[in-house]
Amino acid sequence: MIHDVSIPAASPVQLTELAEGSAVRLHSSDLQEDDFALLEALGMTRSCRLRICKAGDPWIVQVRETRIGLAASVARRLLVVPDSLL
Amino acid sequence: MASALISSAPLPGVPAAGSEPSLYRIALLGNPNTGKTTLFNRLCGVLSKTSNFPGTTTRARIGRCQAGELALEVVDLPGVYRLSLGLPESRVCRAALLGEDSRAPDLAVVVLDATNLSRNLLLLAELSEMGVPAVAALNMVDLAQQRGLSFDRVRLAERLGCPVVPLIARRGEGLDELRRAIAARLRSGAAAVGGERLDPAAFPSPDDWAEQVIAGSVGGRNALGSSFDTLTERLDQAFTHPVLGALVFLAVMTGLFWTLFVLASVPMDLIEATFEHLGRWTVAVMPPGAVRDLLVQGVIGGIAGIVVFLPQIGLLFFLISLLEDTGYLARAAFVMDRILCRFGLPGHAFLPLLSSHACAIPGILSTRLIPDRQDRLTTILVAPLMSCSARVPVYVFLTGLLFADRPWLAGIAFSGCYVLGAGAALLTAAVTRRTILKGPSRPMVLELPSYKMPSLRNACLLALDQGLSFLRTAGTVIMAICLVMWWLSSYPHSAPPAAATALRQQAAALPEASERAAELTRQAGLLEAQHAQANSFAGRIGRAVEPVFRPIGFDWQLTVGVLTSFLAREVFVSTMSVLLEGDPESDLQDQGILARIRAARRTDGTPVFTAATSASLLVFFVLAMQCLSTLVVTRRETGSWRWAALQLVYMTSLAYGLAFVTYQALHLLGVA
Repeated sequence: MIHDVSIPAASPVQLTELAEGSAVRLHSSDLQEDDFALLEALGMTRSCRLRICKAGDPWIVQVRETRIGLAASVARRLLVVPDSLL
Repeated sequence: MASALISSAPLPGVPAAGSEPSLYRIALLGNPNTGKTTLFNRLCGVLSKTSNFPGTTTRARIGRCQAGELALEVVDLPGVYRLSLGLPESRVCRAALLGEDSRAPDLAVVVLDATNLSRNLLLLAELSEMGVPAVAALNMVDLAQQRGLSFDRVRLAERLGCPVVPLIARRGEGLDELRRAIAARLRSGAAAVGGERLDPAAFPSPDDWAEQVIAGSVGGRNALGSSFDTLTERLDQAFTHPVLGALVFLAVMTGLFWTLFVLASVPMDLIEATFEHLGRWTVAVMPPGAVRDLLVQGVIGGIAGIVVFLPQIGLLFFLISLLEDTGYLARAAFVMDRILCRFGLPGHAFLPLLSSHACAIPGILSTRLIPDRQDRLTTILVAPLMSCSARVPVYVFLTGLLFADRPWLAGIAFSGCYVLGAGAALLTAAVTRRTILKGPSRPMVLELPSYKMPSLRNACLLALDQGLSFLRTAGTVIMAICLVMWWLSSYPHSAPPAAATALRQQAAALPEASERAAELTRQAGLLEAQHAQANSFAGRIGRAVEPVFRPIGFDWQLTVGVLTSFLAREVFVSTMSVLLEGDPESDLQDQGILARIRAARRTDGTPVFTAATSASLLVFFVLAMQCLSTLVVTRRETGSWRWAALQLVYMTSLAYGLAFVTYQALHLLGVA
């Protein structure tokens, strides 16, 4: 299930392709409805800014003041755009 | 309509409903990890009851407190990120706030984490849409100020349209002001904050509304952006590292396991000794008869069998609360998720499974940590396969029989029992997730809360609450079952066999202190105990069922032992003591007694405990569901006897099947 939350000009990449410390914006996701709703409730909303705190299983990202742990299978399903390319 | 949410009896020290001016219902709402439980404990203390939300297995805590002249009934709702999510907790909160299954609250107190306002405010937006009046409790203001945040609470209240009360719940600061704000809000029926409220409906999304609320009323260096906490970053790197994280996890779990196993054994031994003394005292003061037997063996024995679990339950939840409060548990769940997900289990399952090595009851109770219902059910179903402490006396007894002169082999067999149990649990979980609870374990998405010092007060209150809850619900059913099992094992009474009477007469004719007289008396006691056991209802059932167990090497005596141990595993050892030694208190570590038991014969002259039989018994005890108390708790936690029945059937079938293979294979190999 694809959730398109924004269509920036840069090509989106999988979150797991980026390095620790990268600042990105959420582009889309193909997670199940319930899993994506939970991410939204945690703050991963439309074009929100994420910082990759830790790469690898689990991935840890920070959205505003919330640190979120993501299993690798979830992180692979998040498409992001590096912030520097916007 | 009567509801589990409405406490039916007045709590001690608080005026009963109807005798004070009014009783208002307050709902405590908030994201997880905002200090909601801490606030509840500060407001209501030990004056709370735990029950289920109607039609669910989600627990509700209900307490009472005073706000000025007003008596409040406080309902602690589950922590939720959004009311609109499809998760069970969100549904429960919505139903409770709208009064669908119970009386709607007069007011919601929304506990906000001051360090993470942008996300926490979204619940207030949803409450506004639902038309539920609210007071905002801005908690953890000290942590927020440490991060450079400042709050214009007047402006914040104006924009939110409700009173805002800053709090430090873990220190109890701000509670008086909160009570005054609640009382004022309830009396006036209106927010009375004035100013220009920002209506969430006027914004494209709740997030835009939250941003505007914060922009005008929260200042400081990191008002809207992210703050970088270096210590948290470093700790997360360590605790979730594939190698270092696993080592830390091992150390923490070893400490927890040691505490549960070793520390809890002190009060448990004390409880057993106390009830034993009570039983002996009762025997000494009461005349012999049915009433004394019922009191000593049924009631006192039954209560002892329930109360003895309390130290482990209390200690486990005390430690879980501490670990959870520190923030470490969320990180540990990810460490274990890598392994457990291969077997269809979530990372959260590690703690219940590990705790089940002490006792499956607190292990099953701690599955409440698992958010997904399918994951939780799977964990509950397999938890009893982990070798618990009640199995230890049986393992020691049987490995001692199997490897009498080779203690190192006995040790390996003992360890093998633990490996067999854990392996069976993981494989059963894998099969379960491919069959009756089809589907992979939910991939882990978890908020990682800030690290902080745990609250001892919260941990103690949780331990007390869980212990009392166990006594109230599971305890009553377990007590009833204990009484039934006692009656089956004790009745009908039968006259002592002629052979025993003859032996006693011979002993009476000898000098009192002679060894021969003592030996004759012992043999008479053995015959009487065996006769009584064989002729009891339990014994008759054992004889009738013996053909079922013969293919796995059990005679009627072992069958009686296995059947009675369905009440509790450790009963097997005392039953064998009675049947083979005539004394339930026989020291089965004594080599002389073990030698006699090893030499015990059936009526056809064959040994009772051959190597094949002992091995088969060992395998049976590793895998069988032989704890009615656990079944009762499974029913309580799953909300249905169906899951408890499934647990009993699959574990008994697994135990029987593998015991059959073990016995027949050893028999075929010529191992006697």
